[in-house]
Amino acid sequence: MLPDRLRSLWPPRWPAPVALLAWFAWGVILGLFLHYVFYRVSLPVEPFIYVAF
Amino acid sequence: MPATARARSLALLLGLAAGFAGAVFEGHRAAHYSKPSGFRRLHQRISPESSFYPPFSMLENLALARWQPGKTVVIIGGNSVLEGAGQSADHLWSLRLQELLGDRYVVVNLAFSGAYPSEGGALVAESLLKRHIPVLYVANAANGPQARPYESTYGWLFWDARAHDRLLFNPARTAELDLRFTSALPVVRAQLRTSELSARLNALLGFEELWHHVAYRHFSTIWTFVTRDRFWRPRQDFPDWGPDAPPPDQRYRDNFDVEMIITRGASQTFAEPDGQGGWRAAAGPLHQADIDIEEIFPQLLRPRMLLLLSQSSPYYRDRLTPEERARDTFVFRTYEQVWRRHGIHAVIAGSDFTADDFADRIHLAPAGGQKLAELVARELRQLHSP
Repeated sequence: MLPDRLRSLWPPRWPAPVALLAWFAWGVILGLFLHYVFYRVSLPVEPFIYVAF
Repeated sequence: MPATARARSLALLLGLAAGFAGAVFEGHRAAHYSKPSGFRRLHQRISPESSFYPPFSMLENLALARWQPGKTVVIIGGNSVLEGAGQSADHLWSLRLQELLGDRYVVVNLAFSGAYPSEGGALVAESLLKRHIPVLYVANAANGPQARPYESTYGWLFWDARAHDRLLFNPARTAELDLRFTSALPVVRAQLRTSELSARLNALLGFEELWHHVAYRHFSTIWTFVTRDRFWRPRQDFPDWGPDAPPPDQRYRDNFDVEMIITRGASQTFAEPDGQGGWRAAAGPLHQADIDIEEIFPQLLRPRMLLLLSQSSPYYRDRLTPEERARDTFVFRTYEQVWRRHGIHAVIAGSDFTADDFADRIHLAPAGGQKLAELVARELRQLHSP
């Protein structure tokens, strides 16, 4: 079934080094996004909702 | 063997820290090189009119990239008149000024639509002086009291420059800010503190520099009305679409009554009858203007400033009554002297221009831009020869 196939792609099912690397990559993306959020909310006139972009 | 939950969390947190630290590092690097390419002016698509708020470093980099030892940087500040509204990018008055001044000068037009002489360009000029780079600063102003650089749309540039320690020592400005931080209305104090905190945080983390660089060079994430067709495109892909003024017979068609009110307003509140058929300066605005100029512009910058008092088009001035015209002339001359009293070279710009030199009441058509460039080149040479 599709959910099972998706689950097989999920990092915990991967071997430990690959899974940790994947989680690390997600962390890097989140770190960049957090930095972007600082920029986005500091813009003087735009409403916060545009953080969605 | 699968990774434990703890190891996964640790990997995620390490990644988050690495991603954030990498962005901070890139932000600080961008502060040293990021700038618009092929730059002529801060047109609509690289200015707050399209929600693009260039960091202070981006403006300063424009000047630093062009400067070489032996050259003098001419920074243009002020509002849309000097930004060149009414002239297309190819007919810009500041290009003509560069031609007239020659290659010993470097002209950088940092005027913003609606900006005051204390904003943007003035702060960059201060920073360049602090770097011991020879600089001249040209701006335009209206008669009367002057706004501080943290009091308008372009306030972020002041806080940004201040947080990066790029401003000259100015005890009067520091005292006024201290006063506002302690004695202003609570809502004003909160606004000041937010602006200051945001700029300090940015000085630490470099988010403005990095993401404005990305927005200019790679992709933009902000939808705005003026870039609505393809808002994601990098801002460098949007040309300067500012048009030349329409042919003379198509100008001055709209808002005649409003424009006449504004033309009268250039002098109306700044002079009163002296009882002998003449005019005297209204004391309140004159006193406030004295205080403002003394506080806003550092002593070191003043001898290097050329301040233009922008006159309205004769299309409107010629329709003033003889009394109003006399008052207009009196007020412009009075405020010219006010600026000069503070050691700033001021001249009235536009009083000998024709209606065809103007695109509308105040902005200049290409022909007026040529005349302005000639006036400014002449005055700058008097002020300073390299």
